[in-house]
Amino acid sequence: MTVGVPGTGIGGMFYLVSALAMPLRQAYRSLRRRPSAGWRIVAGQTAMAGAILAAIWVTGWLVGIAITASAAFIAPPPLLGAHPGNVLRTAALVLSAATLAAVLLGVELLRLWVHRGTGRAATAGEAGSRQQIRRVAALVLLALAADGTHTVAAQHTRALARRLARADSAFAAGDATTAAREYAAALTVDPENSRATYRLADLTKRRDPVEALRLFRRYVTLEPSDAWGYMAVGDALARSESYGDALRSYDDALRLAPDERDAVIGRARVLARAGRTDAAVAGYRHWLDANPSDAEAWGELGRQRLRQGRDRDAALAFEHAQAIAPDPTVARRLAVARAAAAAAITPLASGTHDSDGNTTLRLGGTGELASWGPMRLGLTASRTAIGGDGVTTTGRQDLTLGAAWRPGAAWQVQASGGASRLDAALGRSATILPTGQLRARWRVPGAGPIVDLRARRDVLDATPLLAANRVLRTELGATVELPIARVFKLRGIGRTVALSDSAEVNHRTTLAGMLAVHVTPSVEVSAQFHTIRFAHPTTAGYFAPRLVQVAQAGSYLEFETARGILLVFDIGAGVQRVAEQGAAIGPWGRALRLYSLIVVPLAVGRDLRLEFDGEQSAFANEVATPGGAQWRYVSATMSLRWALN
Amino acid sequence: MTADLTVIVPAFNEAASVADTIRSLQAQTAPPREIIVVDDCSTDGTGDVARALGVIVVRPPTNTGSKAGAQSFGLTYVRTSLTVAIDADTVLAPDAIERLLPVFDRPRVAAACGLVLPRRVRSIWERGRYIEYLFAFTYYKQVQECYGKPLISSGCFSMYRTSLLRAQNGWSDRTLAEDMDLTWRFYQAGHEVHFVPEAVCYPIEPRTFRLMGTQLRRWSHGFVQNVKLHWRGLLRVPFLRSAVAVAFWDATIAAALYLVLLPILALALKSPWVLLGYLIDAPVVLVPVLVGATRRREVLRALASLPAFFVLRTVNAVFFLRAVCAELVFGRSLHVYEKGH
Repeated sequence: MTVGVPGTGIGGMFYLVSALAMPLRQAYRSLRRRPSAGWRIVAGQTAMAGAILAAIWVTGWLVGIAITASAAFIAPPPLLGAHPGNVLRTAALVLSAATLAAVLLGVELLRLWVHRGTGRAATAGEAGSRQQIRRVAALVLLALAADGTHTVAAQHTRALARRLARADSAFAAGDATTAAREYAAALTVDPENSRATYRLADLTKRRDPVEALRLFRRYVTLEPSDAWGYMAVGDALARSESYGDALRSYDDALRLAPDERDAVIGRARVLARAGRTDAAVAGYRHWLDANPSDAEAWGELGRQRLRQGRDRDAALAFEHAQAIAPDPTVARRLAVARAAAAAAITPLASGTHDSDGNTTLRLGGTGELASWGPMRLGLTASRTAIGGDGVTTTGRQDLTLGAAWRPGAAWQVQASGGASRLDAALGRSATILPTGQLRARWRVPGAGPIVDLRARRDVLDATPLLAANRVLRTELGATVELPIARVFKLRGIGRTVALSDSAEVNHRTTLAGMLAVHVTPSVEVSAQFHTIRFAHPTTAGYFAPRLVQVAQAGSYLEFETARGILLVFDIGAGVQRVAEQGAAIGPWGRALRLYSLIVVPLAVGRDLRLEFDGEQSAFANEVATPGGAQWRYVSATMSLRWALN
Repeated sequence: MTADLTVIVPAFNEAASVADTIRSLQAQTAPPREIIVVDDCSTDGTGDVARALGVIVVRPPTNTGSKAGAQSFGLTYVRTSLTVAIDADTVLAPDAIERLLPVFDRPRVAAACGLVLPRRVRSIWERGRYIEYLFAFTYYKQVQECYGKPLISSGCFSMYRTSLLRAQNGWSDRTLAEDMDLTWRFYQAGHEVHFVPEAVCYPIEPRTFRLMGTQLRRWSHGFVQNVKLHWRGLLRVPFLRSAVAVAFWDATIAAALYLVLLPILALALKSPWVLLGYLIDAPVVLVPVLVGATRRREVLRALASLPAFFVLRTVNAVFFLRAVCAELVFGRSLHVYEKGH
């Protein structure tokens, strides 16, 4: 009769340990000249136990290979992962041994309890003999347990030490390929070697970030009290843009090491990477309050201050960094920040032309005061000449006081107010009209939703007729952008515009929806649909159809060259159809648009800015001109911002 | 040279196999002085078959109802210092008795047993049992012997010191595993029991699931009944108490985990790999099996039989779990002795 589940269960462990203990027992009995099984049998059983241990290891190894090989067809066990190496886990052996120990201990305790009375009746000699036996048995068990463990461990340790030595040498020599291979080999010997796990993850993180993350997580499991493991997991998660999980991992690290620089600064970096600039700034400031001599942290704080739009504070942070440890990169950033914060003048020239022969030319400039905290003030003055068909000309002068306020990285508020003086034209005397604009933009930190509200009042001046009729545009608009998945965004636009002149007030309503996909952080493609309605026709000089529909594919690209030249392109191509007032909607026609911005840093604090805008369509969304079957429109603007620092 | 021992062969309707048993006894290199076949009121002419081979046949007035009863009845006829009990479906290797005899030179030895292997290895159940015996007798039993405490002196073939056997009132039918009961009583009385692997016997093992089930039911209930009966006394016997505790744990907790936890884990984790747990120790089982089979030059037979072991092990676990529940939880003790073949 064989009781239980032979082969498995703790019975297997019990007989394995007992077999490994036999040589010691045999030695003890031989020394005591007591009857024993004989060395031949003992050696045979011990060898069999050794072979069983080897078989256990080989089985774990083979199963690991099988899991790896079949990972494409059968999902690997969740706890082991796709490349488990040897599936035999020390934890499983320890658990089995602990269960066995608990059962054996339970039996001994039960024996002591059940026979607690009989012990007193035993003679002193018997008691002494029993005690001696117990002591020896305990020693033998302990020694054998240690021996069994040591035998296995010793083999593993030697193989492991060889692998690790080779891996460390390669790592130190910068041979990442060899080091990774040797660390991987070390892990096949000891899947629970934490150092090899960490190093292999570190070497793998650029080539295979997913595997690196798995290995870092494995390291955390192996070394749950090592804060650096959690930091590494956090960094790996941040690289895969899982910022929430990354921050949670850093929080775990901070619980273990609350004053550790790498944990505090690392968390701030993740916040910065996640776009949570204000929180990142708070993190850096918290660290720098206690550690003001950390130049690197000052430098990183400066960069985040720039993202906040707090140029003066950024400059101060960079100055701290430079004072502690001068660095050319920081010096360059300091210069940029100082220039951004400084007072500046920006002369500009712009012009427009359309296929109907209308042309405008604008000359002017802006003067900005040095930034004052989150606030910045500027004054803009310009003169615009408006001509049409080569005969009719008029002009306008503008004077505007503007302010920009950045209470935080999430908020941007811009306001301007002034007046436009329109020249006398077509029998009308010169007129001064108040103009202004208010724009507030709020973005939920961490690539969240965006709400952009805008109100403005200005004069339509694309043609002499519009200028002569004093057509004023009063607009309220809102843009809402909702991230619906990792790279998908849904954007909605709604605007209502009142177009007023001396004779009438017309209303234009715009609704638009678009689905945008961020192909890369600097490239977005979108599908857009716009509808524009006018309340009624007009004779004021702008095109007011009943309905306009536009379906367009758009792409937005933003690049920065090595020299710091910024290139932005916003391109749209699609179709458009127009329904005149009182008429059925017309056929689809081509609609193209292009906007580009080029900013060339001529020197620190001197940025040349070029803008080009072009449209080819029946209806121009922004300029509201008379329009036509394939009306074309171009504009160009050039400005030079000259910082006065 | 005739050994001073008597062989008791309890037999109930064993006409088909008892002749082989008797002949193997008569062919021993150390033949017994007497062979007593206890014809337990058979109806198939078992007594006549035995009588025809020249052995003593005794017949109780009524069927004793168990192997223990028949053996104890036979014990009253024994006049030698040693007694061998052998099942009527078991044959011995020619030197089996001779191999056991030297053990009894030590006066404290009360019983000795040999290595057991199925006589026929054809059906899945016989093959499973073949592997189980190769594994257990090559590995577990050897370790038990080295620590001086074989868990059981096998009932199919064991040798006893008659005086000590009588001192224990022979075999008891209070449990369904009379051999285990006797072995543990010997230990508690301070006697020795030994395992001699060179003394080989070959019983006929159950060839069908029904027969295997009958035998497993008897064995599993017998084990639990003996644990219930002897647990206090066993606590005084070093090594044996640990071996029994471990066996009891494996028969209860491990069996439950083995039968229930693995499928649940496989479903919960949605991973068929978990079911590999049923086979993952195959190489561990294989090592002692191959060692034992190599000694017997039966490696191919062992390899061919290995899969059957896992089937039998699972069935074994079910029966032990049922027995534990019936005996300990529901209090439904089994006492009807059914033959396993």
